[in-house]
Order: sequence, then C-alpha cells, then structure tokens
Amino acid sequence: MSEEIKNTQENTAEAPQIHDAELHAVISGAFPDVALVASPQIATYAVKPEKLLAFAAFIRDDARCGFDFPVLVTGVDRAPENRMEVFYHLLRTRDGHKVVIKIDLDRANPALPSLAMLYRSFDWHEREQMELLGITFEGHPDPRKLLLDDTYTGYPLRKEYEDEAHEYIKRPY
Amino acid sequence: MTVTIDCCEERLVKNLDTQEYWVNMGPQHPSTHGVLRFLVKLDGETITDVIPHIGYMHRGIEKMSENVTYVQFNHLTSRLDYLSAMINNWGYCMCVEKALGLEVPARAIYVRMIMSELTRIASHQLWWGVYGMDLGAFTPMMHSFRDRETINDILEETCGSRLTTHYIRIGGLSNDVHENFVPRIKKFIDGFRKSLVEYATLVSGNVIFRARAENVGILKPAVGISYGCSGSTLRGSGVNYDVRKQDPYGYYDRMQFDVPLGTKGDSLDRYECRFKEMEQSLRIIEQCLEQMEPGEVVAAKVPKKIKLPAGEYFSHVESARGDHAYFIVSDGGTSPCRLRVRSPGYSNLAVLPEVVRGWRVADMVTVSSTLDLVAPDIDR
Repeated sequence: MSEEIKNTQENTAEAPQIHDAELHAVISGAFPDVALVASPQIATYAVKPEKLLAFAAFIRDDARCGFDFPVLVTGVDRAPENRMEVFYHLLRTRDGHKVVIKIDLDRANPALPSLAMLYRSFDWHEREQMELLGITFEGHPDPRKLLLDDTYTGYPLRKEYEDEAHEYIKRPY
Repeated sequence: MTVTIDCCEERLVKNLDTQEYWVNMGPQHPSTHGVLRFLVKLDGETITDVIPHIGYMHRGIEKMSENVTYVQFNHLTSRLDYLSAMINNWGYCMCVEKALGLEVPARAIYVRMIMSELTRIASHQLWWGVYGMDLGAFTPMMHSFRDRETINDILEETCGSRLTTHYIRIGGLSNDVHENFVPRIKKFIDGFRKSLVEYATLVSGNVIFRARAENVGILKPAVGISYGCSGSTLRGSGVNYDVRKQDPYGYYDRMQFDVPLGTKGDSLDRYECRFKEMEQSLRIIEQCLEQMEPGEVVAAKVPKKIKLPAGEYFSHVESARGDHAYFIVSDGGTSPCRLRVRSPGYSNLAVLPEVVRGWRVADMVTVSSTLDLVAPDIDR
C-alpha cells in the first residue's frame, strides 16, 4: 500500500491527504492506476473515462466501499486550460462517508460513459450537464433536454457563452 | 389492462383492450405548488407512466454565481428553496467558511441552529396544511398557517424578512437576535407542543385520511437510495440517513434528538416521519436555548474581499426536504469558477414515476404531496 501511495504522490504536484487509509487500500488494490488527487476535504479519485463504469460499479457494489447514494454530478468548464472536468459525488448512507470521482475531458470533444444505469439519480443530473455544458454522456437512456426549452441553442455554462440579453441589460458591476 | 366480459354464451366472451391516453397535469395545478408539469399516461384510471417536465422556474442561479462575488451570491440561496431559506444560507456559508478556514463564533452557530429548526417547522407546517388541502380537508391549512405566521413573525423581528431571509452571512450572522427572540420562541414551543397533539387527532388519526394514504405509493429503500432521495421521503422507507446525524455540522453532534423512521415506505410513513420531525426540532431548539451564551455573532477575521484558494469545496446540510449540497470549484478568483447546487427536491421528484406507477389517478396527488416538492428548489 505504501508503494501505491508513493506512486500517486508522484503523479500530483501536491501530496494528497489520505482521508481513509483502509478505503484507499481497497480502491488502489483493485484499480492501481487510479490516482488520488489533492483535495482539501473529500477523497477525490481521478479516473480515465474508459475505466469509469468499472470503477463506479466497484465502489458501489464492493461491500468494503458500498457508496450507494448519488449526491451530484458537476461538469466544469476549464476554458483557460482547454479542458473540461466532470465530478461525480457519491456517499454511503450507513456512515455518511463521501468520495468524489473526477474525470478529465478534452474540451473539443467532451465525452464519457453515462452512469445513469448504475445510479438512477444521475439520469437527470447528466441530462442537465449535457444541455448546459455540451458534455456527451454515452449510453444515456434518455438524452433529452431537461431544464431548457427544446429550441434552445448554445451551452449556457460554457465560459464563452454570451447571452443575448446582455446587449439590452448593462450592469455596472 | 384487459376487461373481461362475462356472458352466458361462451362464444361471446372476449377480451377488450382499453385505450391508453395522456393527460396533462399542470403547469398550473393547485397541488404542484409552483410551476411544475406532469404528463400522466392513463389506462382508465390507472397510471401507467408519468413524465415530469421541469424547468419552468429555471433562473440559471448556477450561471449567475459565476458573475457575482461570493458575498453577493448568498442572497440567491434564499431563492432556491424559499421555504427553508435559512438552511440554504447556512449550507452555502458553511462551504465558503470551510474553504477560508473561518472559525464561526459559538453564539452564531447556536442561532443558526435555532433558525434552521424554526424554518424546518415552518416548512413542515406549510406542507402539513397543504397536504390536508390536497386530500380535500381545508381545516389543517388554517391551523398550520397560524403557527407558521408566528414563526415568520419571530424571523421578521430579528432579520427583517419573512421568507427570503438572507440572515446567515459568511462568517456569522447579519446581526444579533432581537431581545424578544428567546421569550417568543419559548412561548411558541409551549403552544406548539399542545397543537401537535391536536393535529395528530385532527389529521393523522382520521379514518378518511388514513384510507387515502396508508399503503399508497410505496417507495422501496433500494429504489429511493438509487434515485438519491433524501429527507423524510427516504426515511419513510426506513433508511436512516440524516445529514445532521451522519455528517454533523454546527453543534448537531451535541444535541439529543431522534430521527423518525418509517417501515413500509408508503405515503403514510412519509407523512408520519415529517410530522414527527417537528417534535424533534422543538427538542433541538430547547437544547440550543439552554446552551446558548451571549457573545459575538460574526467571526473576527472575515476578509473584506473574499477570494477562495483554487480547489474544490463541498458542504451539505439537512434542509426541510433532505440533503441540500453546495459544490464550489474555485480558480482563485473573486467569484466561483463553477457552483453546483444539489437540491433535494430534484432527486425526490425524479423518483415519482417509480412510486406512482400502477396506482389510481387520485393517488397521484397523495404521493406527489408526500414528496414535498418545491418548484424553485427543483429548477434552480
């Protein structure tokens, strides 16, 4: 286990804090190439898109992990660095322990597999990220728009998005 | 569904298929409390499918957050779930405080807890009265609004606002409580304890009410968890998940209170859990009043210009509806790079088709009301 921690430390500039050594041992034992990334509060694992489904299924079904509760999905547009990130927040109901899955995506073609069939709650969460950020969740059971009108074009939460209303409403701040 | 016609002549016995059709419920429906639309697929009176359509009240609060400072965003959290504004304020402030490493004074935390629990009671009182009205009883509404008014008056006296309070600020509170605050709460608790007993007789024990709610709309624990349901919606199915217990914030770890749990997961269990939660909130308020001491209500080191260090920050609170979470991604600037709000109603609504499928059209209102939906909270 100590070797694996060493490996992850080499991958990231800042030494990540291990919140739960036992859990970390289980996860890094099953997925040696999944890196624990520096995060001040919650254990965050950086997962490659092609490993995402297997990883999520493991931490949901393995008795030692048991992260059964879907909290939220967030896409983040990192326009200056020309990439996108998706965060999956999971939690287990028995003790409230949290874990975050972080996926780095190419901004030109942001695509990752959908977790909607593993966690039913992510159905809506992913639909929302699809329409607001233009991220493709492959294999999503119902990829319609959720909050916005069907005729709406553009991705409002992308940094380059310009709202037409800004031409009419000028704010001093 | 197949209708079989019995006939003396065997050759006339045949199966007739009924036609399925779609009925639109909402966006302006008295029981949806806000602008929320359901497309209900019916076979006779039986519901075969429901498609919720949300977004009528989408104000893009997450987008707004990227154009305002951390302090300016605080008042928008009151507009998410306007029935538990105090709790939303706290959830957001806690996230920023965690990121800044601010130590909030003890008095501020106690006042925050009292305010949270008062808000929870007020929210549950609105739900309780309106649930009665949804099922055709008008009297509960009159009782519940009397208590709710008392709470709103107490809130108004201290923070000047009744619903969208914006009282809990980053680092503490906007001001100390009014001098009448403690005596008025004590008076309210005494009166409300007696009222709760009355309400239990009026509605909870009512035969007609029980017939409409008992065994109707069963939510299985595994389904509820997978859909991310929280609050009394999930606890009604017997899942012991309460943020105040599992991930205590404030001083909830010092408080003695129970988490009411259901057994069957039907509408009545969800009703009972929410109803009993009000009694527990009273217990928490009493303990807070006992332990609270005079002192500062704002942290000494709140920076004038708030800039969060680059990174990701998460906080969640138990709002009146469930697990209400904030996730801030900061790039080191004065406003968030991305701010995500997890509203409990969003997930609680998503489970509705699973719960209501197979039940009669009249049960639609019974079930959707026990999920305690608030449209602005769902749409953000």
